[in-house]
Amino acid sequence: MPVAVLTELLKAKLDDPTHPAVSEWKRNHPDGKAIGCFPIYIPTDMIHAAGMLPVQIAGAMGQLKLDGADAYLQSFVCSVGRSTLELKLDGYLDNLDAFIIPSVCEVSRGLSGVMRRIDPEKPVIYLNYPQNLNSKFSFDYLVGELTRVKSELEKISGSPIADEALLNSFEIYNQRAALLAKLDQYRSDHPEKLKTSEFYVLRLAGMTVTCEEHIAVLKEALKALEDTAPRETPKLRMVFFGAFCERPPVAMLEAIEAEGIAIVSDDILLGQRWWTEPLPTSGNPIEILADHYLKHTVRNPVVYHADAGVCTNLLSVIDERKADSLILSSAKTCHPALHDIHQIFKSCEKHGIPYVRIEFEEDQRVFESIIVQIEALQEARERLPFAGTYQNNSGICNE
Amino acid sequence: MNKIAMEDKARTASRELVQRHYLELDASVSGDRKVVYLFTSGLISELFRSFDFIVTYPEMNAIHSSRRNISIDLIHDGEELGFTSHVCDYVKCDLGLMAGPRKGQTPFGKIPPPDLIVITHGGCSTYIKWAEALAGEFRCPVRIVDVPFVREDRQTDFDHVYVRGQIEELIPVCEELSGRKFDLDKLKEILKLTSETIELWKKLQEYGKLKPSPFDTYFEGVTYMAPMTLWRGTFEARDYYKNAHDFICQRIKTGYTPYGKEDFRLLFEGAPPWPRIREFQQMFSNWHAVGVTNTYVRTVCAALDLQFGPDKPFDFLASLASQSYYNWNLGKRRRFMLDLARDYEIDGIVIHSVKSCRPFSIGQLDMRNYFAREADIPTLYLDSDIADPRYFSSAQMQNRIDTFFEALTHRKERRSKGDFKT
Repeated sequence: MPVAVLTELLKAKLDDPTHPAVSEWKRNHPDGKAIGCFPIYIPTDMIHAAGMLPVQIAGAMGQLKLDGADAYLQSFVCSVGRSTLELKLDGYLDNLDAFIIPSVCEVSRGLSGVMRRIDPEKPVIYLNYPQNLNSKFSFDYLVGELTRVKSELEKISGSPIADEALLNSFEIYNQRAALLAKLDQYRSDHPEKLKTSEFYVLRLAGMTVTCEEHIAVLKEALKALEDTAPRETPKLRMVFFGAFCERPPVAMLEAIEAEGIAIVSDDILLGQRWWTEPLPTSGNPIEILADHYLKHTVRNPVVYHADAGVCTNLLSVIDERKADSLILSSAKTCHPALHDIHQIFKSCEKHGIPYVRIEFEEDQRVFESIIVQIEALQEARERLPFAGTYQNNSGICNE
Repeated sequence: MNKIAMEDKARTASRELVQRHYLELDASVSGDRKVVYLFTSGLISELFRSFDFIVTYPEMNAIHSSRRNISIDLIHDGEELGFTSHVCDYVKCDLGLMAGPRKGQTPFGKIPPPDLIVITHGGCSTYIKWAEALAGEFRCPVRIVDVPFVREDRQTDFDHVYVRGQIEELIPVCEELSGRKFDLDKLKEILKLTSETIELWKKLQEYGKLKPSPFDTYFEGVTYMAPMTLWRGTFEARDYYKNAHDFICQRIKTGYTPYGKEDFRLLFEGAPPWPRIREFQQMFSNWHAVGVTNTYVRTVCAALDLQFGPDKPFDFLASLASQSYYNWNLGKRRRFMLDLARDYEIDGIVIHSVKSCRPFSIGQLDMRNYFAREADIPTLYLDSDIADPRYFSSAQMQNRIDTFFEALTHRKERRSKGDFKT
C-alpha cells in the first residue's frame, strides 16, 4: 500500500473530537485511566509506565464552534487554548480521568486554572519545567517537580510506578522516537516519496493511541514507502518553523506542497520528538528524565537556551536540510512565536535566507494569502537578484 | 492644608524621584558605572545595588512613555522592526525606543544600553523574549532567575532552594562586571531598607479599609508605586513612604476622601490603561467610586507574605523574587481577591483586562464569571491595553462603566430596604 493511501485512511479518523480510540482503549481496559496531555512536552512515558493511556489533546482541529470557551478566555488567546477548553466544556474530555498541562506560556497556566475551577473533581496537574537550564540547582528542582508529578499520577492510577516499569517505557518511547527520526530524515532525503503533510498525519495518528500502536503505524508507513512510486520532484526546499504547539491544518501543508514546495523540516507536534538523544534505560529514571531535559531538549521557542537563541538552531536546520528558504509560521496570537520574529527576520536578512511569514489558526479553511506569498517568493527567486524587506512579511536578501 | 496641596504632595514627590532616576540614567550614558536592566516582577534590585550598578527597568520606559503619550510612536517603531499587533506593547514600545531610530532618546532623558540583563522569570514569559531581543541589539550577557509558577497554595521547598541558588549564582557575574568583591554587610543594609519600605507600603495600603478611604489605592496608588520599583533598597524609597504615610495620616485627620465623597468602594484587578489613565479615572470619580484596594499596585514589587528577613539575605531575596501576584495560580488569586473584598468591604470589582499583559489577563474572564455568579459580588469586566491607546474606546468604556454603576446604585437601594435578592 503506498504511503498516500495509508495516510488517507488515517486521516479519516483524525478529526473526531470524541476521540474514539480512547473510548475503545477504555472498553478494553475497564479499570484503565486515560490522562489528557496538553502540548508541548509531557513525560508520557511516566503515564505509560503507570499502565494508563496518555492522550495528547491539542485543540479540536477546527471541529468545534468556540461559543463556550469565549466566555472564559479572551479572543487574543490562541486557538489551541480556547478549543481545548471548548472540548472540556462540551463534554468531549469526559472520558479522561485527569489532565496534565506543562509550563509552555501564560495560556497554559491560565487554562490549568480555568479547568480546575469548572471541574474541581478532575485533577489538573501543572508541570512546571525550569527555564534556567544552566544553574547547578536546576537538576534538583526538576527531580523534585517530576517526583511531585509522579506522585500525583500514582494517586490517580492507585498504585506506585516502579522504576523498572518506567525504564521499560523509556525503551518503548525511544523506539518510537527512532522511527520518527527515520521518517523525518526520509521526507528530507526523498520529498518526492514522502510529503511532510503525510509525515504530519503519521504523527497525528499517534496522539490518542498507545505508544505501541503508534509504533506499529510508523513501521507500516516505512514499509509503505517501499511501495510508493516517486512523484514529481519539488521545485523548492523549505523549512517550516514556528508551529511547535498549536497544530496547523493538514490542508494548509497540502496547499503549500501543491505549489511544488518540499517542506524538509518542521517543528509541528514537537512533543513527540522532544529529545535530541535517546533516553538512557538504566539508572534512576526520574534523575534520567531531569538530566535529559536539561541537556537534550530540542531547541524551541518556549525553552530558554542561554548559549544560543532560536535563530542559531534554525540556521543549522536550514543548512543541514539543504533548504532554499524558510516558512516562518506561527499560530495566530502565539506570544512565544511572535516575539521571536524580530530576531529571526534579522537573522534571515543577515544570512541571505529568503522567507515567507504566515499565521494560521486550527480552523482555517482558506489558504489563498499563504499561497500568494509562496508564489511571490518563488517568482522572486527566479528573478534574483532581489532585496526584500522584512516589513513586508516576505523577502529575499542576497548580501 | 488645602485640598490641592493634599492631592499633590505624594504625587509630586513620586514624580521627582522618577525624574531623578531618568536624570541619573541620562548622566550614566557618558559615565563609568555599569548599567543593569532588570524586570519589575520578582524584582531583586538590592543585589545589584550592593555592587553600585545603575539599575533600570525596560517596563518603566514603556510606562513612562505611555503616560507621556509617546507610546504610540514607539509602538509604530517597534512594529517596523517586525513585531506584530499581538505582541506585548511594552515590548514594542521599549524595543521601538532602544532599537528603533530614536536609539534610546526620550523626552525624559537618554536610556543607556545595558551591560547586563537579568530576567526574573516569575510569571511573564515575555521577559525572556524581551531580554533576548535587547541582548541581540546590544550584545550584552543575559542571566535568568527562574521562579517556578505557584502551582498549589504555596511555593514548594524545592522551588525556594532553586530560586535562592540561582540568585547566589549571580554573585560571580556581578563581581566580574563590577570588578569588586561582594559585600554581604552592604547587601544586608540595603535589604533592611527594603524591609522597612515594604512595611510602610503595606501599611499605606491598609488605609483603604477606612471609611471613607483617604486615598484611591489604585489611581493614586499607581503614582505612589513608582519609587517602590525604581528606588527600592534606598533611603530615598524608605523616606518617600514615610512621608507618604504622614501625608495620608493628615488626610485621615481632616476626613479627606479623593472625590469629595465616597459612594462606592471598589476592588480593581489588573494594570491600568497608562496612556488614558486620567480619562479612565474620571469615569469612576464621576460616580464617587474609590479604588479602596486592588491587586496590581498592592502586589507589584512588594511581596506580601515574606517568610524571611534581611538577616537571611538570600532567602529574603528569593522570597522577594517569588511573590509576584501574577505568578500565582488562578485559585490562589481568586482567594486573595475574596479576602480583599471582605476585608475592605467593597461594593464591586472592576477587572481591567489588557491584551498585552497575558500573565494578568488570562483567566480574568473566568474571574468575572466566578465573582459575579458564584460569589455574588457585582463585577465589571473592561478591556483595553497598557500602552497602546488605540485599544481604549472611550465611548464604549464610559457606557459600560455607567451601566455598572446604575446597576450598583439599584442594588444598594434594594439592599438598604432589606432586599438581598439582587
